[in-house]
Amino acid sequence: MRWAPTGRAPRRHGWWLVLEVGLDLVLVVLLAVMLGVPERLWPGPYDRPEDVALPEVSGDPVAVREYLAGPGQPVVAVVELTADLLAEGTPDDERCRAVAEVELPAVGLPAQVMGAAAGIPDPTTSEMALGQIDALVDLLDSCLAGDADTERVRFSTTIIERRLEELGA
Amino acid sequence: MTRRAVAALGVVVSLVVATSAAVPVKAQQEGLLPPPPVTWLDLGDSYASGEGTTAAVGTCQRSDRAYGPVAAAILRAQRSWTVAEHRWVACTGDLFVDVLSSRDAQRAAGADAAVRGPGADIADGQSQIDAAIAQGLAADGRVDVITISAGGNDTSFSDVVIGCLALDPGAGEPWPDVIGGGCDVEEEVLERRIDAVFDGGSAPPVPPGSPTTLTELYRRLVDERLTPDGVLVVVGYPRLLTPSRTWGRWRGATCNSIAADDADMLGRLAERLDLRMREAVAEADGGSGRIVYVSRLTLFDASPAHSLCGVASEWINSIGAWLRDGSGRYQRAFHPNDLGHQATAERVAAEVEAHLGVEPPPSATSTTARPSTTTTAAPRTTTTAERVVRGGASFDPGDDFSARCTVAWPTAPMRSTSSVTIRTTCAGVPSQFQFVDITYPDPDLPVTPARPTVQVEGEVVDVSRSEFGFTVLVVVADDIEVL
Repeated sequence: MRWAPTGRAPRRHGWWLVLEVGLDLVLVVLLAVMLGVPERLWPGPYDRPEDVALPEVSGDPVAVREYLAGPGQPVVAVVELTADLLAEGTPDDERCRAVAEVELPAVGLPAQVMGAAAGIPDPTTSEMALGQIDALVDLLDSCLAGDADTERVRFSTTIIERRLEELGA
Repeated sequence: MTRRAVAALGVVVSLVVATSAAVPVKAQQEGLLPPPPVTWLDLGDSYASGEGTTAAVGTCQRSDRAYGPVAAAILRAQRSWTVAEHRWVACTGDLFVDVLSSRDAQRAAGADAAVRGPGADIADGQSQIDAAIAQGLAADGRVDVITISAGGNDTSFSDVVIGCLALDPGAGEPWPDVIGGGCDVEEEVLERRIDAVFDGGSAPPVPPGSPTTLTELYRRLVDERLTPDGVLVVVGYPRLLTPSRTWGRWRGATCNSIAADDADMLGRLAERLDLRMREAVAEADGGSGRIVYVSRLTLFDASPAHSLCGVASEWINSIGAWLRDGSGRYQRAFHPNDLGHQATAERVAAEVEAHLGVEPPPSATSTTARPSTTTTAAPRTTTTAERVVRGGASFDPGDDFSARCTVAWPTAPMRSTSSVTIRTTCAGVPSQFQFVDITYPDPDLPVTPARPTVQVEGEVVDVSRSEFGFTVLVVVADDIEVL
């Protein structure tokens, strides 16, 4: 048995089809943007630090942990200080001045803190620590200039916190 | 571990080592015989003196780990050459004008040359050539080999890099003073500075008769200081940081306190400097073949790149190196380390051998004794697939190995799930084996920069050879004690 058409479908114009497909595409793009797909595909340098792959620890994890509990303690102090600062939201000029003039000096002189970071017996952890100091100083610079930018330091703080957690430090 | 497992591991290790130590092939020079005793002169700035290597000392920061002395040592130990005289006068901070003109003469010409000061390795009244003469070079003396890296300081490259740091490592307290702020000079300005080194007009006035361009300096050195069959090896400058697009995402947009855009700008400038040096060498050489160029940019860029912020072992000191080594010299950062100089030295040695090595007579075999002109060195190298005999020492795969070794930081140990491989230098191992690569079946071996010395008991499994035939001893350890 063969089916026969019972009626003739109305013929669509080509422009209507194009419009329909175009609208569908716009909807898909809007949905993707709402779901954050572009950020996942083309992340900015400071996007989604919680998802970034960390390099492997090539030093001895026990030695790194022992170091951070001893001579490397200023590094941990800077990470904690930064996390506390960011937990309060975007810091104002007064808060940044207190960090620059009181809290950081209490941790150590710049050369001491940078030396502690440079001495971490794992190259990539050492780089993360130096990057963290760098990012904090960068924040203080922008903050004291009246335009606090926390994007970079939030990224670096998440990265080094993940590494310290991985090390059990 | 079974002998079969040891052998298999040895093959894997030697492949890894061969890959990491390989350099672009120019020629395999294994068949050349040593020339008569040669004379050698190392000139240039910090990238020649060895600033940044572990043994750099003095006001000139000279180190026997620098590429010049290491290249000579390679040819002595691995090719049985005799380097009868070696004058070594490269000095950190020097401009190219310092090679032929004293600081006194420069100031007399109106230049604002810094005073070298009392006790300096080179006196104020001496050029680098004068210093070589003070070391025993005849006043009109010529040498067979000259190596030189110069011109970088004429572009103020060191100041530029320090100026690019977001975190100024040289600053003192208080904390706000360590804020660097990123590159503070336009790329076009730096391009002009580089061009001036080659086209003339670089900053300081020079004494009458002094070269005004690097091209002229190269010509003068060949005309005035090189023997008729000698070779001038010009060694260039590397890219300091790998291109930012290759950085791990965990770095964000900064590496070694240099922002990604600034790092890429420095990379473009390094390419320009390399290109201009290559062109200057070709122009000065004029087809004579007496001047050759070793591009450290090409060497360090070779995959995987060995500049900072890459994924391979770094051949350049990171920003923290001077803090780590206790030297207190932040200038040590952004200079080639021991590995960088070692890799460069292999290229330099190969170029020198290609120019001065002697073709064996047709009747000679590859195991021919050395020529009678070189009577003090050990017999000429003899190699087979199974045995290596060099400079009076021999190693066979399967030989026991026992030595006290030190990890050659910053080569990080490579840890797999079942083993660790460390690159070391070992006491008691002849100098021709510049490195000993040791694999040990415990990935948790607690070797760190703070505890780098180990007592190793094991077995020689192979002798890895780079493209130029230089060697690395490969050892699988049964027992390692961290000292």
